Amino acid sequence: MSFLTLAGVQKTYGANVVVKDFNLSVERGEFVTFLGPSGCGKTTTLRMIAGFETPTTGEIHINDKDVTHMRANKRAIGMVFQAYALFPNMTVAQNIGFGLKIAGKSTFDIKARVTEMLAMIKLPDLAERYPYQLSGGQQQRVSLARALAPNPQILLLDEPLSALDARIRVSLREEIRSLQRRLGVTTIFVTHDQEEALSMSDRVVVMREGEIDQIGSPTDIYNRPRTKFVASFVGTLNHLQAKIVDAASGEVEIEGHRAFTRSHLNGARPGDVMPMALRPEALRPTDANGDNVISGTVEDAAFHGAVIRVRLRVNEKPLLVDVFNAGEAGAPQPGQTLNVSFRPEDLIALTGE
Amino acid sequence: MNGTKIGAWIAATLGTLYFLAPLIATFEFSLRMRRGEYSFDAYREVFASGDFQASFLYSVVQAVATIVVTTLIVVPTAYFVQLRLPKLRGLVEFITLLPLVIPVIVLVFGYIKLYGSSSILPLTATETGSDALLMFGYVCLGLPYMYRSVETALRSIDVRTLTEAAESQGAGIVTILFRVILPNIRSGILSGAFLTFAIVIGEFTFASLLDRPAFGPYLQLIGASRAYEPSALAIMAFALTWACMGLIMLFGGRTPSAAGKR
Repeated sequence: MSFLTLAGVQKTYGANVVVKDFNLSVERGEFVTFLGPSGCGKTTTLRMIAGFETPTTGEIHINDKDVTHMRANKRAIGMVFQAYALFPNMTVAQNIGFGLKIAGKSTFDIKARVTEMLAMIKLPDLAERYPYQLSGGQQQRVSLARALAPNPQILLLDEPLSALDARIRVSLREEIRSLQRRLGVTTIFVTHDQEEALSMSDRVVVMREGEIDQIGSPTDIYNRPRTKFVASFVGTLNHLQAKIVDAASGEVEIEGHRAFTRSHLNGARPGDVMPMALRPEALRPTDANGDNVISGTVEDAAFHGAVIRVRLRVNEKPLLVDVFNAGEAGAPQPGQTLNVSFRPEDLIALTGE
Repeated sequence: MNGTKIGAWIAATLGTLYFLAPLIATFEFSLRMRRGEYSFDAYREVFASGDFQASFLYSVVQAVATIVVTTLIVVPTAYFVQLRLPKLRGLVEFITLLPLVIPVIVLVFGYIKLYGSSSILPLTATETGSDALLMFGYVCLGLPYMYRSVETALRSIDVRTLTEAAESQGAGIVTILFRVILPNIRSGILSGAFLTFAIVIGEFTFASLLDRPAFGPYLQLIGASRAYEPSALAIMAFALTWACMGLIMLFGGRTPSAAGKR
């Protein structure tokens, strides 16, 4: 039995359905991320797990217990908010010890736990500071320590890195992940940042308009997106129209070039046109001609440091190609003809919308 | 100096004179009790009077009780309106404004009719009952000021997120109100409290018609029967009000985070 289960969960506000038929099982100690654009229902789902919203229909179980209608303060859940939500009238130590005090722990126990948590978030000297005396990153660390101090059953993180600047965001996400692994606490993380989702999670739940589009490991989500939406939301993508030649062998025709795919073509008939996708990094410059090679004219090359993003024009349609910066070799020049090849497994058939 | 600036200076000087001239004249008059020289005799007389001390103390106790009751009514109301019932904000604001619209004399006659000796709840039949009725009347008078101060303070903090953060830590609603919300809107409560204090200390109509020994009726009595003491009392009342305003500015200017610093 899973540690956290959401079964047929739905949330409506009047006629507006915010979350539709949400089914998910999370194992103990797993790190699951809800990923999606604004308004896709990811935060509402998280808030239903926290107990701040009640599902209109469906059930939520934590550790075999039905908590659907249980008040938030009885669920033993730790939550970290985007806006930090530290209590401004309390010091860092008082903030971290708040939940322990509510739970009736002794002053000695609270002090020991607060010291332990401060060491864990690497802020041992800031116990007596007030939140307004801390930077954003420090406040979010304290918020994380406060959420973890009472040993919650589940840790919920509601876009905790969104308000921070880029460098702090990267370092804090690594810290959160390593802490989560060390403590083994079941974690649900909400974000609209695909990089965060892919780098931190055991599994990613991609949501759109209140529904789950795909659940899978970061590799699955990135390499084998099931829908057009997932493919375009996670990473950069070249959208192609492929004409089916032979569904059984995976033979297709793309812009007049013969190619093969490993994707299942689901009984498509010869002549059918199917949307397919290719990641820019799956394309490699080649001198060869033949199957799985597309030829185009270089329009533009943008320098990104380790990678150069080349924009090709293939029959008046754009095709993005990422090539490694090879130093002295330089970037492809505009006007130059470039052949790019790809592996059959990198040509993804987008069967869903 | 251009014309606009001269105009501004003239307007400011006239305004200042309009307020300060009577005050200076009153202060000067209050010092003339001893013939031929200035003295603080009028102030000494006032302080020596047992009635002054008793009525002032009575009004201070009434003011403190009023502030406590108003806070207990207003803080949870404003909190829940902001958190759970934002649609009711307009209605609650309208209700809290009513004491400013309805004349006090109408309120007090309504009270006497409702709580008179022949009513179901004859509060005016006993001293304690009348004191309580006066205090509840003051709560009504203080409501517009306290509600606005508290509401403004609540808007300056993220009530929803702080409440949810405390809930996720296992706190119940009473703990959240007293340990998380109240300390963070302290400046707003203090502003409301000082305004309420200033109103209660000088209030006349309620206290007089309910026949309570408050400071307002005492001021009126002295004004009618003495020459110099009323001026001294007027100056003291002004000083007290200004002190309250000063305290509001002192506490009102603090941010929730800085105000929370111990």
